[in-house]
Amino acid sequence: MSDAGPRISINSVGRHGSDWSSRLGRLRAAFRGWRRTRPFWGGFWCILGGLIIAYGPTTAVKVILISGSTVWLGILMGALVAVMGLFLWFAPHLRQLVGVLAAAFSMVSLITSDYGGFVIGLVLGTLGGALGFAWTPIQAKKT
Amino acid sequence: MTESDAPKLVGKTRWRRVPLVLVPVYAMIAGLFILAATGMLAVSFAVSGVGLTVTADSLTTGAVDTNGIGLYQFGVADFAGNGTPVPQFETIVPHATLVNLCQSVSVGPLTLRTTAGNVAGSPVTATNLVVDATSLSSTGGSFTNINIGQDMGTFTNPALTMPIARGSGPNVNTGPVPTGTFGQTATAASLTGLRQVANATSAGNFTLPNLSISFGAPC
Repeated sequence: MSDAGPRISINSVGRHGSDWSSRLGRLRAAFRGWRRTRPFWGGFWCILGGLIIAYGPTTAVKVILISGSTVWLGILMGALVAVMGLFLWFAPHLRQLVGVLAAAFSMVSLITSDYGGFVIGLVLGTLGGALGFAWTPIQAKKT
Repeated sequence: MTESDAPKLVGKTRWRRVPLVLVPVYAMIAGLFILAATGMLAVSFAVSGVGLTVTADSLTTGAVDTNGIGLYQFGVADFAGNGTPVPQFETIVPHATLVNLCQSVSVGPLTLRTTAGNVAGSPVTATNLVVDATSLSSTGGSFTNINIGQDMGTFTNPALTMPIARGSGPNVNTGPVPTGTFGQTATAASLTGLRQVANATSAGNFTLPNLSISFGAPC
């Protein structure tokens, strides 16, 4: 991974080409293993939804932020949803609690953050939370 | 690659459990939406730099703030990320009432259109409405006790005295509106046929009766 060269070398035929494709294959297999051992899509939609929720208020902060306003609450809600997504990825054993929290924070963003990131962030955050909640390990298949 | 100390178990999504979260959450979202759409729940709104258009059939100022002012308008420089000043026409209304409000925001290829207050007798209300506009037009207006050439640095409205940031870059004024800023104030104002191309807007408490959010044409 450390000696990553230009990607175009994949196209070259011969020993180097096969070396690169096998390396890529191993990386893909490692990523697949990582993805299957945690609620990957739940976390993914939470992170994306959280970023969308936080986006509107963040752009506003760059231009205008008045003390006493509630702009920061919108950013906080988006950040919380995104952090819940990270928890789904890196602490999958907390998925039920974290999934419900992600959905709840997304719901609050409807009030605090430009109608929940113009509804898009709200939908992604709640969907991600529900997917995280619904994910379960298959006990029999130990890898 | 695996940072988790949880057992390395392959898992799957139990789809029958998805509604356990989604159904109650969406029931509550529908409840919140109904509360917002009947004007019982105020939402906060803040956005900038995404091509925001605001139109309203009329804007009327309500109660005056502690300075005895119902409307502030002045020129201000907002700063883009590279520190280039962008001239803005800033309007601050401590208590605003808007009839037939329409906001449209362009998010990538989509245009999201929000309408509210389009039923007689239940207008939109907003507290500390702040709009930084690059253009503002109205078909008619009346101002009460208008004071043109007012020094904006002499007021204590929070929106004037405590703007924590007006952009990023080395030249940004992070303090109060400087003394000597030319502007105008009025104790009351009424504008009809309002149309603003806004660069930033924020409202503390926005009550939006008959709220409707949909994708559609710009306002």
